[in-house]
Amino acid sequence: MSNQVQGGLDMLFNSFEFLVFLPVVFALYWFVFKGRKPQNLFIVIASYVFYGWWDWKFLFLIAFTSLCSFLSGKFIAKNEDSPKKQKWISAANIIVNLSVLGVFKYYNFFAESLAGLLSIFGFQADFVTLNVILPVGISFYTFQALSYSIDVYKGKIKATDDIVEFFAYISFFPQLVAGPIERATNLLPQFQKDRSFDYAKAVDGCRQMLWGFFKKMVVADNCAKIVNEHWVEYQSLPMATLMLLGVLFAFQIYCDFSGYSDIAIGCARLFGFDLKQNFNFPYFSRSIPEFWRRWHISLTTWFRDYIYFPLGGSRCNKWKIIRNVFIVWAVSGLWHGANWTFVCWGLYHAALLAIYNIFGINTKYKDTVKLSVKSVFQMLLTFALAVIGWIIFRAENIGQAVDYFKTMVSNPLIDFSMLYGKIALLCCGLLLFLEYIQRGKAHVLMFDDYKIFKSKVVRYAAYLFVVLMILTFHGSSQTFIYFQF
Amino acid sequence: MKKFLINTAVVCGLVLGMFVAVELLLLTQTNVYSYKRQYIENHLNTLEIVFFGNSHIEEAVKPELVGENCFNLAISGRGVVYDVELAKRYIPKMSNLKTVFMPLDYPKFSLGRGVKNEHEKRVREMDFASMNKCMYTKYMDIHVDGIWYWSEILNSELNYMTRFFKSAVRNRGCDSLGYIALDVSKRRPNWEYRNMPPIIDVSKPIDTVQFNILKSQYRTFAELTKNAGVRLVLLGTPLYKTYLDDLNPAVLNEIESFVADLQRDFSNVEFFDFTADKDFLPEDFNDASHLTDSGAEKFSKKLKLVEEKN
Repeated sequence: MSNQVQGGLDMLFNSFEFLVFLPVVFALYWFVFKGRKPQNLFIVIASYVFYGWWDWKFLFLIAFTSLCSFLSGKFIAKNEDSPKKQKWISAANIIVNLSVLGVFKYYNFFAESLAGLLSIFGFQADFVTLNVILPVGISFYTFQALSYSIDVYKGKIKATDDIVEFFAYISFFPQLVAGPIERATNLLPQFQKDRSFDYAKAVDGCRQMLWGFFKKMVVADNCAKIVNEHWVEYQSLPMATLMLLGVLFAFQIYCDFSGYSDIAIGCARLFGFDLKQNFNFPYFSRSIPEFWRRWHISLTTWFRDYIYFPLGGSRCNKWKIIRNVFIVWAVSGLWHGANWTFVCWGLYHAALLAIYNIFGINTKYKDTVKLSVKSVFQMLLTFALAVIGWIIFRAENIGQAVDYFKTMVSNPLIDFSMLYGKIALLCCGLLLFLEYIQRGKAHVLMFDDYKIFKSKVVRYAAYLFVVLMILTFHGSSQTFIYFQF
Repeated sequence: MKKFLINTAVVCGLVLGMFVAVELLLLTQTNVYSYKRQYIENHLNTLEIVFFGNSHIEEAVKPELVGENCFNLAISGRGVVYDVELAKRYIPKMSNLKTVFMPLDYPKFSLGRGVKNEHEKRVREMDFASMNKCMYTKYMDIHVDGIWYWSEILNSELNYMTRFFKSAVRNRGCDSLGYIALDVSKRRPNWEYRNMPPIIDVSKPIDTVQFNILKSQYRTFAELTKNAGVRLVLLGTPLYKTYLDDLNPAVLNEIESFVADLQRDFSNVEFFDFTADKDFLPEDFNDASHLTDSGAEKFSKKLKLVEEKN
């Protein structure tokens, strides 16, 4: 891939820059910029500083995307009497936004793929490839912008006349670069209301942020250290180690991404906003459909509402449903990155979902997760299927993914000197244990219903313990995986 | 809001207190930096041979095989700037010192012309710059940038908290004479392509600022040793064939002329090049540029001969 996310002076949530940025923004937001309009304006400024810290040049891009969607909303509202015009305006906005995404994220991929395809038939095509940097979070804010104009077109939400609140909705810094992908129906009305400081919400936000940091810095970064170090030598590793790397990557990507979401949601709560839950303990899922109801919920529901349902959803014959599933998952794979591995990963999940559909397996469970022999078996099977998908996802190309699975079968079963990641596995175990205890809640540190935590001393001790765990077991700092999407 | 701010301040205060406590308590836990500093300060009047440098020396020289009263002061990832500061501090005080060994590595001659080697298989690179600032400030009292304190919690890439759970011997990581043994049985599958050299493009102009700094650092070393009546032996450490294949001959010539320049002004400077020494077999290498325990044994015996030439 020739377009890569640029590293460097990123304001990562786990960076010193953010440690300074957040309290300053918090203080200015509540004490200086009082009132809804000044606060909205300040959110835009703070968010643009946050995004510009990475690369100020791409501020023009996010401003352009925001402006297009804002204007399309206004024009759709203006042309209430002419549905045809509304349709054209909405379509134009979709085309413009997807074109921007296409140029920055997919142009080289499609150009190279087409050239490769033509060369198979003996044609020598020499497409010009672009040496562009992939703007951080472009897929996230583009989808957020798209959902607004579609919802206005469908009459689900009224178009806003306030450009500042719209820009704030698109660029809201906690969720700007890696989601959750918010809908205008949920987030925009929050910018239209006066906000007052809510103690309980802010405290819970801080706890959720702390848990997010634990997930990212302890679990994800420790897993990443092992996975990154050993993935390059996969051809020389025994089957057990290759499986172990798959498992560790499953935890890495989960804790990396859900950790980011926790920090984003918690951070937004400090400013009086409620973002959507993005993960709901996915590794306790008992089937793949349930997994997708618990994993990256904001994206899955986006695809459901804006692609799957318009294609006919589940209200058509079985084969059309399966066709729709494959279309949605191919697009979902492509959304994750300009690489055939992501498309294959999407199609792999589509195939699994199709199997559940064809056999009519019931995946709507009445109870919350309970440990029984049957449910544990279902969970393990679902997890194993997810891990297979993550191996495809992690591979650098399709050849490597295939080779990885072939190596798994051909190499020796186990070599005890090559079982890496003791600390990483311990962290994963601790995570699963705590998540199981706290299942059904928004995050693990939501412990108000325990009598023991009514005591301030115990609560503070718990916070310090988590910080101490982060200090003791933190892995080396890695950037968030989902930034590249 | 008031309640939130007070409670947040209390929690932040507690966290800060914990940070400070951890930073201070870490001072009481031995590590390789504090051990080597303590050792050299306790043996200033007895040491005759001292090895400076980085992992190419730390993991390659067994002092007991080189000679009596010998110590391996090298530490992995160390830049020459720290060697110079250590040399300035200790060489003038060492009354019995006869020989100082110092590596002269190929990557030092990148001088702004190097790019990452495509053959390199090691994925994770440590941020040695900020880690060195922190560890040398805290444990060796060497300040290279005027900043009084570099926090270990914020800058160290080592698992500092594990020091609380290990014995002093395990914490220091090296043997009593400063050597760290690498076990061939724990060698990584693609060891031949780990720790490869940068690819240096000599058509690019040399970064003269970097070059002048490097030159002045080695000249300082030469001057300090000359004034103390001590030999300065520059070393080219053994390299595996994969590493040698990626060396640029033009850069090797530059190294030769660099040494010749130094020798012209300082008669105490010698250069021994073991980079392509045929005696080192594949099992003597832990990766493309580091030796295993057996390799270190061979290398140390060769260095004994160098030492005896005195």
